[in-house]
Amino acid sequence: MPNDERLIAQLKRGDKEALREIYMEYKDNLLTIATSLLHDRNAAEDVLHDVFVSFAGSVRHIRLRGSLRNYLIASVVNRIRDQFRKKKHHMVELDNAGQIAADSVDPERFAEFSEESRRLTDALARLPFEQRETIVLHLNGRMKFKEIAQTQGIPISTVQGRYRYGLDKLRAILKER
Amino acid sequence: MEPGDNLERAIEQLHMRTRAETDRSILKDAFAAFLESASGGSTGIGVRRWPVAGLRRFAVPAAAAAAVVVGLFLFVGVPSDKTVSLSQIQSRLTKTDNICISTFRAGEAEPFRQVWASTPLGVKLFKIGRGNQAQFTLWDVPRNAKKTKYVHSGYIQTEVIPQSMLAELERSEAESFGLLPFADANDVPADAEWARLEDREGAADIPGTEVYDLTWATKSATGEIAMQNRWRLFADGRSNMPKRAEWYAKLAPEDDYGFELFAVVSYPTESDIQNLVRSTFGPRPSDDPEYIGTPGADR
Repeated sequence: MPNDERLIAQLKRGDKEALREIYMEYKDNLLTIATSLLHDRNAAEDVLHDVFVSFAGSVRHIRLRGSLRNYLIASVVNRIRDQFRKKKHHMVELDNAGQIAADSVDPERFAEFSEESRRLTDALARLPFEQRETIVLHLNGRMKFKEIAQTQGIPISTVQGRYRYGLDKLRAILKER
Repeated sequence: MEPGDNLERAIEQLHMRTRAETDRSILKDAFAAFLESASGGSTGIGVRRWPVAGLRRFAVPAAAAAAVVVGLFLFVGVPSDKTVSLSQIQSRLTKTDNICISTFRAGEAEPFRQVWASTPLGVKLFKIGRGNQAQFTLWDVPRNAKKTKYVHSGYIQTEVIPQSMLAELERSEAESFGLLPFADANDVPADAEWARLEDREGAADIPGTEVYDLTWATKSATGEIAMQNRWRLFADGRSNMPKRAEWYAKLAPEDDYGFELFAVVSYPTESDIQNLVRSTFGPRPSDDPEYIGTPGADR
């Protein structure tokens, strides 16, 4: 947090190197989260691009209430949800999108992940979006259940339930294979 | 990983890295938005200045050039009578039956991606990754089968190619599987320049080739130059067939081009590819009909 405050203060003074520092610090984690949610590396890179350009353009007006990491993660998740909304995907399509992407030709994803990781991301893509989102935010985003609940405006028990049911389903999917 | 075993830890350990070209593109646009905001102009918040995936599509070579759309680059001029136009080279590629493209990151000796494509066989075989982490994926269009082999475990997964995936494969071929940097004539910037390299000092030494540079600028939606690109082609001096291609990029005009990727192109025979498919995916069952192809049509 003190580091976040320092970086934001530097940015507000017009120091663009602070922007580079923030990008380098969080880019891989945000890309991993976006790719795990979308199961599509190209789309995930577009989200990362939009989030950082938007952040850079509005940073002077930002008032952080939590950590910068959580702010950026929430931006990524919101952008993904908006993207689906704009495309008029309903939740069923949102859930299916990952599976379609899992079958598609994505050499970059193949190159990036080991076989085990690929199996895992393919299995994640088969979860309902809310469960996948909760698992990814908690484990990849290192967000506490309470923070996820606050971000999404839902009770913490719902978050815990989604997490538990999601992991159970993930285990069942992995056993199928 | 056993199913369900250490599952949470395995998810925690998932990690993806951004590519250097992605970093450059995002930082360039982010700095522009930051400075624009500082100067009191429109922040452009939420406006996509340059889609990274689109940039990637133009910048990264992937696979079979044989399927690239005919008639591209017609507007890229021919500066001298010695120079072969890009459209001539592209035309030669479209007549190629079998091709292998190995793509390397600059400074690396082992390809991170290889593709073998055979038009007569109707197959495309991808090798992604290295060593025991490699994965082979065979798209056998005539048989409507996609086979995936994980080298680490030897596990082979066979699936029917869904119709939607066939369309996707065709689209991917047309849009991003080209050896060439553009898959559509409409994507070639009007101010792109194509020239034969007279002074080969500093260029890779590939005997029997002519060297050509295609240079163009990647521009943002506002017309600002976001990146300058150079695609260097080594084409056989007689046949004009590509033997090697190199990708370079730079952010500022005064910078030197950064060498990012290169691809080595070879032209195997139909049976070479057929044998590779068989050796990768094992002996084929006796009830499995022969591969569709052109018997004895090896080049």
